[in-house]
Amino acid sequence: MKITFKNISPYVMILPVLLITMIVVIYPLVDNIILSFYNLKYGTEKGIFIGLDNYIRNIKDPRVLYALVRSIAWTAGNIALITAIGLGGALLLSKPLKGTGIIRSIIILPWVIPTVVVSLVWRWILEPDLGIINNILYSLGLMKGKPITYLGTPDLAMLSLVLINSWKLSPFAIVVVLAALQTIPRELYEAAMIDGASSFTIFKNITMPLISPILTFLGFIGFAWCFNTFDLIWLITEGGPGSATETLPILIYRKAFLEYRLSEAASLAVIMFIIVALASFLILRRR
Amino acid sequence: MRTVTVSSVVAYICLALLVLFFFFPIYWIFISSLKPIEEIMTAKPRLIPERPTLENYINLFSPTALYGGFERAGKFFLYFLNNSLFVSLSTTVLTVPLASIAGYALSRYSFKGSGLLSRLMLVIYLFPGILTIIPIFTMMAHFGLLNTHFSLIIVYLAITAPFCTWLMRAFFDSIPKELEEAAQIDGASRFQAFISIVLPISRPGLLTIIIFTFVTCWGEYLFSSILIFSDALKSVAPGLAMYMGYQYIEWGSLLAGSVICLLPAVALFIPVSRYFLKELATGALKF
Repeated sequence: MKITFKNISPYVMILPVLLITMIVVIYPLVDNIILSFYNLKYGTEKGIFIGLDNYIRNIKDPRVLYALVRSIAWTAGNIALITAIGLGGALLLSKPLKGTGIIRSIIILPWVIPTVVVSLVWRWILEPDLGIINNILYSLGLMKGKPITYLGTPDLAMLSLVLINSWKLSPFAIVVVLAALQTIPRELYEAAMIDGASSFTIFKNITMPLISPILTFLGFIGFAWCFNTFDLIWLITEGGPGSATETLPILIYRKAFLEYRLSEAASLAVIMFIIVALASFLILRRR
Repeated sequence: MRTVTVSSVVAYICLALLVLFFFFPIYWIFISSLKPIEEIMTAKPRLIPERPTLENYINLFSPTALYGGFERAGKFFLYFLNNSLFVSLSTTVLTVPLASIAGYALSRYSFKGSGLLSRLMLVIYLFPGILTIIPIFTMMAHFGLLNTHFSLIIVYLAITAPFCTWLMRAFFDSIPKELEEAAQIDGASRFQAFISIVLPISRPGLLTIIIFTFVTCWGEYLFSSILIFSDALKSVAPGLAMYMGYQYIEWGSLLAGSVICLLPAVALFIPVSRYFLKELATGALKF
């Protein structure tokens, strides 16, 4: 093949974006693997090659196993809730009701708000003494005695976080499902109604099959976002109380930047990367 | 007709709950920030402030604002805003041309690996920062770039450029090729056709990626909290978080600060959300 300006130019046009990606994503990924075989603690000094020691240490560390279990529960809970709200919200907003037009155009807002503000908003709402939720419960007489500490009680903290994260992410799901719903030809519904199909049958046999590719897309994005959530959890509970909300990303951060065990954290990141890659592959293969 | 009425009443109730769930928190932080500190600290929250005031905003910027019980120079918050503005604008200026050219190449040229590259762009966007933060930290330390805005801009470029490329490709795909071909028949070069025909039509797409990039950088937390450590160089997100972590929370200033942090994101996003959602949906449906 003759190399001319014509057939080389698309590569040149993509090169800057690829290059920056190489420097900030691909190279660090490789460097992370190398780092995981050393005993680097902090900063720039070289460290000594110690083979698989970091991996063995991580596998033996009970904190890692607990964090993995929490990560799985966190991800599953979030994906379930986000998909349910996304589907329900989109079906509701696609109905010819008053006000849906304006709601559709601003429903994405919670997704746009910076995570640090999301965490602040919810810490303020869930505040035990001053927060509005506890105050409503008090005035309705549903709660007596000590205020509920939503973010300070182990089981409640995880639940609250799932709810907060779904608040932020399900608008995205609603918008994407709405778009998918609009691609379904109206004639299909009309034909089904003439045939006397119930709305549940229509949903099961027309809507679901036609939007299932978009649900897979959402499942993939939801998995990528939730399994890797760091900011939101860190800014609200820092993995606490105790270690009740310490998922894998939180543990990696803690080991790297608070316990000064960079290499050990890097090896945990490699383990997490393998899990992410495997799961993504499994989700995407279903398409 | 009775059943119709009942089902629409149920639908409206669901709609009201949806609106309450997604928009009340935003309303609430805004309203709370306008309350005087005595009203914030009382256990009986009002839906509308009894005596609306800007005192929290004034405190936030006053020369000796109280943060976490410590007296701190109020101008720090101005620094944070200034830093975020600088980093976000710099990234936007770099990302937008690079991503639009790369997106154009992926849309208009068919070459080996173009489909794979498009998909790779989305995967890179979803790639978790927590898996690369450790090597990026050591890399920046190695080059003496820690605690500089330059390091943040590089990282943000890698976070935003691939996704903007993906969005722009979807956008260019929706513009008929014939327009440029006509210009080329009239003697314009491909580059001239791109500048004079394609770019002007692409204004909504460009506006979308400009605002997406700006908003993403504006609220980013993980990298800016790790790569920057002097207060004077911090961005808004870690700046706000800094005051949040303390045991004693100064709610008044914090609420005002979070409204200021959220305003640009919301104000910029609302006008383009229609385009953004449309492109996102076309991209997602094609994925």
